[in-house]
Amino acid sequence: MSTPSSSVFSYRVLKLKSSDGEIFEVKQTVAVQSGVLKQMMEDGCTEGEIPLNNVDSPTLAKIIEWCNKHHDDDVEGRVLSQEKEKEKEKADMKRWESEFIDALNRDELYFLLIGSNYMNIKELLDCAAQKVAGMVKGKTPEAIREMFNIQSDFTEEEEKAIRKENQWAFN
Amino acid sequence: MSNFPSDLIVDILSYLPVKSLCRFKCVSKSLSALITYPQFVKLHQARTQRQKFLLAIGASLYHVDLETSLLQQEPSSSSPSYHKVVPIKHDRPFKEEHDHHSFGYNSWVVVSESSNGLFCTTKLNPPDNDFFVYNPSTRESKKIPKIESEKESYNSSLFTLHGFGYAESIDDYKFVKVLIKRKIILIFSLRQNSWKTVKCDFPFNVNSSHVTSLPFTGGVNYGIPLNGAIHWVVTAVDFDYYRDPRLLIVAFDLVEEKFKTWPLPNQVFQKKFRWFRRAGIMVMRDVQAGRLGEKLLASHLSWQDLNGISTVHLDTLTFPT
Repeated sequence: MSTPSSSVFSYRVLKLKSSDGEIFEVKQTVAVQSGVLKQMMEDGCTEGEIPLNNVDSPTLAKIIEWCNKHHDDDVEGRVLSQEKEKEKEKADMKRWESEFIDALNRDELYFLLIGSNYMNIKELLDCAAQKVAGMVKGKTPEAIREMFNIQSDFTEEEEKAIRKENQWAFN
Repeated sequence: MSNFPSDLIVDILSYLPVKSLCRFKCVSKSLSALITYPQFVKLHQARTQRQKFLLAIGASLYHVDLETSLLQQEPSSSSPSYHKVVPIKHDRPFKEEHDHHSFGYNSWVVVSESSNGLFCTTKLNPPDNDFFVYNPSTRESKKIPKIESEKESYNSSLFTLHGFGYAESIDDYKFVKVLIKRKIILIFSLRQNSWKTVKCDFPFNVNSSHVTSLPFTGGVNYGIPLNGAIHWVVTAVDFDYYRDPRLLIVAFDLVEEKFKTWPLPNQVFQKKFRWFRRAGIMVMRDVQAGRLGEKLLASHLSWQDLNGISTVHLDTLTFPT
């Protein structure tokens, strides 16, 4: 960003307040990745602290780390860069994303899912959801009930019948 | 993880392979309902849509699903486009229907390539003229009911074109039989679950040597579904084939239920078309849109290909432009 007008915009910051009261300052250009914050900016109601009641400070820190990594400081420069560089950049980003997600423990991943869903950050949500999908892919129905806190409302016979119908999926 | 918001569960499930989803149908009634809910199916398809092939060998069908194959095996970093794909055997796919039947050596024929995940198949040996719509991901099948008036149509199967395809704009699958001699088209809509007959003057002729020479089709002239239409290659009616074998692509539009024709675009295409057919694989260019997107028709990989190698290497299935 070289022109003065755009730099003024890019350095405007939002003050995000986590559920446990910590304040995080985030550049507007970074915050637009959140659908919720973007809407607030467009509506002009980002003065003062923005309370995020569903997101605690460790999770918000993670979310901001993600958004900082994914925002483009130099959009034009990227357009001009060579195809190969772009490919490499993309691959590097993919690697960074999987390292970022893999480093989380189960609880952190859970709160990140909730937080990115609440703040409507699509890419992060997709990434986290895919990670969880990978974790539950091979699990039994019982484990799924436990994991998602779902009570079975099938009778024993009904469950037996469905199992029989989908027997191949249990092998 | 407790108290999972339900919209997040939807999101997570949409990334799962069909096998996991089928297993999770017995978790609860609401989860089972969600998994079979049409909108969820759409979301799931949009996220996981990859190429699928169905191969017929002996009494079994073999399903090649790149989605699950890729999940099973991470691409190696040195050559990320190279994947080893192992077909999954489906024994006696339509059990209830055929338990009392005997099976010949090459029992099945796959009439269509994947059309939005579904395939159309028919039994060839012994033939019973029943067509089945098969979903290899869920292993569900549906028999296409016989149409009352069609008994005589099988007498001239050389002059019948078959096809099965999906039209996104009407969200419907259609099975089509073109009875050239009788100048009618029979259309079965999966959504309506009913047949319909349309009269039609065909702008083409069918030369059996051009439409039946695929291996193991047993005289079933099947078309290639693409962009809401089914395509066949036929000979032009006003040409003497033996002197001037000019080929045409005819497409039956599944939405408008009308025929369109194109000349084969150029020599290159003609050559390719023939070459691939010899290889047992057909590649059809997206002639409608003029795009380069190549459609792969691998439903007729011969059994030798599989028995000999027992795996299909995707790299061998992609061809230079």
